[in-house]
Amino acid sequence: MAHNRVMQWAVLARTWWIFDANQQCPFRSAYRITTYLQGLHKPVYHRHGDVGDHVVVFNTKHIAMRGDFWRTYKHFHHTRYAGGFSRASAYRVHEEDPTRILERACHNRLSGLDNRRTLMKRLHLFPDKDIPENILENVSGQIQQVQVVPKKLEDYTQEDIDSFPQLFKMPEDYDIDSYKRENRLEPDQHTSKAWRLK
Amino acid sequence: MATPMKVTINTVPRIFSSGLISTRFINTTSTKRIKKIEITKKDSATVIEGVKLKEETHQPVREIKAPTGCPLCEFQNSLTYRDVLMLRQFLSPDGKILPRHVTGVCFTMQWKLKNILYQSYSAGLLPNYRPELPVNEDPTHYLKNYKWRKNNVYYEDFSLENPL
Repeated sequence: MAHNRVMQWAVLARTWWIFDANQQCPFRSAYRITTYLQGLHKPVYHRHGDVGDHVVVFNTKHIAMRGDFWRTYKHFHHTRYAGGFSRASAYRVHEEDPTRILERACHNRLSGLDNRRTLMKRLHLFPDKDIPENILENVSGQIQQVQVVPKKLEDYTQEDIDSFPQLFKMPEDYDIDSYKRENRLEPDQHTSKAWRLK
Repeated sequence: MATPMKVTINTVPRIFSSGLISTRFINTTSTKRIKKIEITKKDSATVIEGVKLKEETHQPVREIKAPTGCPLCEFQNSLTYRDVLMLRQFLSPDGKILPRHVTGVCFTMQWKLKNILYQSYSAGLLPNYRPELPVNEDPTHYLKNYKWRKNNVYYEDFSLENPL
């Protein structure tokens, strides 16, 4: 049957996937991307069979890291000469090359594989929305995002804010301006040391 | 022989059913709406009065189902730093958390709300409230924009909405 022959081509063909890295954790998204790079999502997967796919990742400049990780997460390197050890925190690496952190996360995820170098060649990373057309025309599928993209309060309209149900009611005899502090002529005793020493 | 004065305080048990905890039982002015104190000065006379504010045309208040009377107790497993429309109701226009006797939030949820608001601020979802500095105060001490602050930040949450 002709239909079965086409299905066989589709299984063995290299499909191209796209992934939006906006507001996504690089380590969690690497977990999902590398399954498509290795071909783990296919039923015909085998370690020695070369059934992996291409993945195009864009918006890598806008990835999100957890909590304090921009400052505390480090990339290490050693040149194997004496005194050749160096380290850099994640925000410094991200300044120089905005695709570097996601690339290293995928690279570390594929550790222990013999075909890691060929798999990494099928990963195409772009810092912005701008993707060259010769790559974008191959894409035939989208990978689901790992996390929910949050929305800022500034992005909501006034109608959305007003139409949202109120959770509680203010007490009847409550002074609205009671939180305010008068703008004093002299500096605050908590903020200024000179005032405290007087 | 002088005996010490006996002071007895009659404590009335609080009513949590309505969600509004009123600590005061005596009101000097009529209790109708939210008020705002205004001070007007005429020659040799100052008038201090609580002016009623107009009723805002908001949505009707949601029914509180929790037995504690806390508006947040139902969402204690699902409230995240991303629910900005919920969190902004518990803030004063200055960006501070409203006290418990105003909002009716229970102790544990107020403690959680404090942590969630910190996450929401540092992720940049809420506007950056900066207080008006006192006069003659140097603003450079407060304007520390570190290099890593401009990047995006997320926090852990275990709500069902998040797929992972």
